[in-house]
This record gives sequence, C-alpha cells and structure tokens, in this order.
Amino acid sequence: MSEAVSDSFLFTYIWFMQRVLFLLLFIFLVTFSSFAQKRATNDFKKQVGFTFGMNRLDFFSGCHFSKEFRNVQPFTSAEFGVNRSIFQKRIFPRLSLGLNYFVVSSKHFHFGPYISNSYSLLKINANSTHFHHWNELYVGTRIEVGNKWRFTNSIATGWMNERFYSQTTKKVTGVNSLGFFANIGLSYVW
Amino acid sequence: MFGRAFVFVFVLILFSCAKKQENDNVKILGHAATGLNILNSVYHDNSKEAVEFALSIEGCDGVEIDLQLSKDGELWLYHDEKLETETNGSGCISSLTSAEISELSYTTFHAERLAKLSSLDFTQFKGKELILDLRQWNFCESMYVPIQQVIDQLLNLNLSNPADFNVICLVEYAAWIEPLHSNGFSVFYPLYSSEEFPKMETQFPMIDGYVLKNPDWNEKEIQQIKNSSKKVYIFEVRSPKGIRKALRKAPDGLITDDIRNTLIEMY
Repeated sequence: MSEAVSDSFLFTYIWFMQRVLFLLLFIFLVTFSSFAQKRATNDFKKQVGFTFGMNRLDFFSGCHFSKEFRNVQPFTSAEFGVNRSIFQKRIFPRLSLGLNYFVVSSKHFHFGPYISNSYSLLKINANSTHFHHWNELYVGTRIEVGNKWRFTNSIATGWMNERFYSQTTKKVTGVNSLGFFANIGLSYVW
Repeated sequence: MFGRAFVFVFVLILFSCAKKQENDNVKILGHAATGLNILNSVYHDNSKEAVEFALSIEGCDGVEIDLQLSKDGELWLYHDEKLETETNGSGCISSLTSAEISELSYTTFHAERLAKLSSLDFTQFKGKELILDLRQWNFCESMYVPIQQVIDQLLNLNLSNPADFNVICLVEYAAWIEPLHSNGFSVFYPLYSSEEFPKMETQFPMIDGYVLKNPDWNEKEIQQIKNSSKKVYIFEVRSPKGIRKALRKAPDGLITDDIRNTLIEMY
C-alpha cells in the first residue's frame, strides 16, 4: 500500500504508545496510591458514570471511572460500539486510559484539557482469524458541570491508527488517519 | 450477586446470537473503492490509496471505480462533475490535460493525488473484480465523450480480457454497449425500473448484467433477471439494515459504501 505504514514506523508508533501508556499508568497509580490518599483524604474524589459518544467507527456507550486529586483526574473507561455490538451482533470493545487536568475548577464547574489513549478491536470477517485493531491518541477538552451529580462532556481529536492483516500483501499493515471523539455522560462523585 | 447475574445474562443475550452464513456466493465490492461520503473511510473515494485499502480488507472481492476521460484522452478516477467540489482544482477532468490533473489532490487529511487508471497496480486485483463506471458525458462542454478513445485506453491497458482478474464495464449510455461488447468487454447497465428490463433485453441481448438500486427492487424482480442468465449487482448499500435487505435479495454482488459493515453482515 502506498500510504501503508512501514514496519519500522509501526514499531516506533507502538514504542511511543507504550511509553504514553506507562506514563499514564504511573500517574494513575501514584495518584491512587494509599500514600496519596492518606496525604490528601479531603481532596480525593471518586467518580463513576455512564457515557455515550461517537468516533469515526461507531457510537460508543460504556462506563467511566476516575479519581480526582486536586485538579488532576486520571480516568479509565470501558465502552462498546453500539451499532456493531447490538445491531450487528459483533463485539466491538473500546478501552481508554487518560488524564484530565482542570484549569478551571470550582464547586459546580470544571474545565480543562485532556489526553487519552484508546484501543479497540473488531473482527470484521468472521471467517478470518485476524482482527482489526485501532489505536487512538487524542487531545481535547473536558467539561464537568455539577457537584455530586455531574454532567460531563469530552471533545477530542488526534491520531487514529488502524492495523490489520492485508489480504494483498499477506502481512500486517497499518493506516493512519485523523480521528475524533466526542461524548456526553452522567457521573456520580463521592 | 443479583447485579452480577443480571450483567452476565445481559452480555450472554447480547452476544450469543450466532449469525447464519448463507451468502457466500455474493461478491462484495467497494463503491468508488471504499464508499462515497462515508465517515469511517480512511481515504477519499476513487483514490489509488482507497483502491489499495479496499482490496487489502479480507473478504473484499473487488472495487467499482468512476472513470472520466481527460482532454488528452487518458482515463482518470473521479466521481463528481466538477473538480472544485472535492479537489484543489477547478473545471472538469475533460477540460484538463493529464499533466494538469496530475498536479491536483483531494482536499482531505491525506491530500491524495488524483489517480490515473494506468497508475493502478493491476497485480493486486488477482482473483478479484474491477467494475469500471465509464462516464459518457463531458460536463464542461456538454457533449458525449468519444467512445473509441475510451476503448483504446482500456485496450492499451489490456483490460478487455485480463488473465487473472475480471473487468466489467458499467455504462449508462446505451449507445456504448455495442462498441464495448464487440471489443470483448463484459458490459453491465444500470436499470432504474423493472419495466426497462424486457426492453433492454430485446434491444441489447449482449448485456452481461445489470446494476440495480437497492431500495427500488425486490427479491422477485431480481430473481426474474437472474433467471435470464444475467448477473445482478446491487448498489446504494450502506446501513446494516440496508445491507441485510440487499443480501436477502440474493444478488450476484453488492457494490457497497461500507465494506466493513457489509462484511460483518455477510459473515
């Protein structure tokens, strides 16, 4: 494929994504550690909620979990593609890990940039043994309105990479494109 | 405990429906390579990249591409009437030379260059099908394109009877059917109503197949055409519901705007 990503480029991409994930995990673990909890019990809030959104591939619905330490809010979410999973009976999961940083944070309003990395996979041809894999690295903004119950909205754009087994080249190949993601949700904070 | 059981049962119901595989004889072809105006498409329709991407998806049996003749008589992949709607150029394919068209690109993220038919790598079509939608009308000068130039181009590329893949010429202008057929091309014609079929069969018995718009035809009408030993391909196939409806009509092929959705419905 003329625009296909070369093996070395894919390797670099995976190497980079692994580092981003490790960094996010590190922040996530440090923030959630009991050490941090003991130090800042009053500043530490948990949040769980439902989200509904879309990217270029499908509408996604799922649950969202985060813990807020001062203005930093690492999160994780598990979603599934509504069209593919429900109407086409083909499981299409999407897992995300990311970080919000609220530059504006009051009792009822929070706003700031966020970064996320998502991974999803789908078996398009059930007769094949191969899956299509998508990696999305997005930056965007997140708004949360409310105190205990919060209305949430995230909008992001960035890099979407699709990897799959090519039936013409007989090897795994990848394509990059501009992706986007937008979702709304309702969360409970305690 | 109750919550866990509920989640388990819900997931079981959601994903346990086994899909039937009874459409193995239906060919799946990408409309304009990876579909027209489709959100999940990585590349612009009718680009070289889109053709290569479509053919690389497991289960895709070929592509349909739109062809227009340039001022100097070369076939270019392009769908719209005017260049300004999709590219950084203006005018028509027919009013520009190949040198001028080769400078143009689509106004998309990848900024794909416009592709000449001869620039496609035909080795990747091995075992597959290529439908050439030949545009007969010169949009800028309001006149018909000379068919002989089109045929010469196709013959130069050895597309009349390639050894390891299948080429179909799709023409909307009935006057082109005979010259293409007499030069050894397989010819398909788009039908817009069932009343047209007997008339076309009488006038042009050499037609090899018909291309039908999905919402306008039912299973019985399609079977009637297939009974007269003609191939039937369906287009305007996009949503999962539309794909399911089209598959139930048992055509020989689907020219789909969403290859991924179609393959999921098919297998």
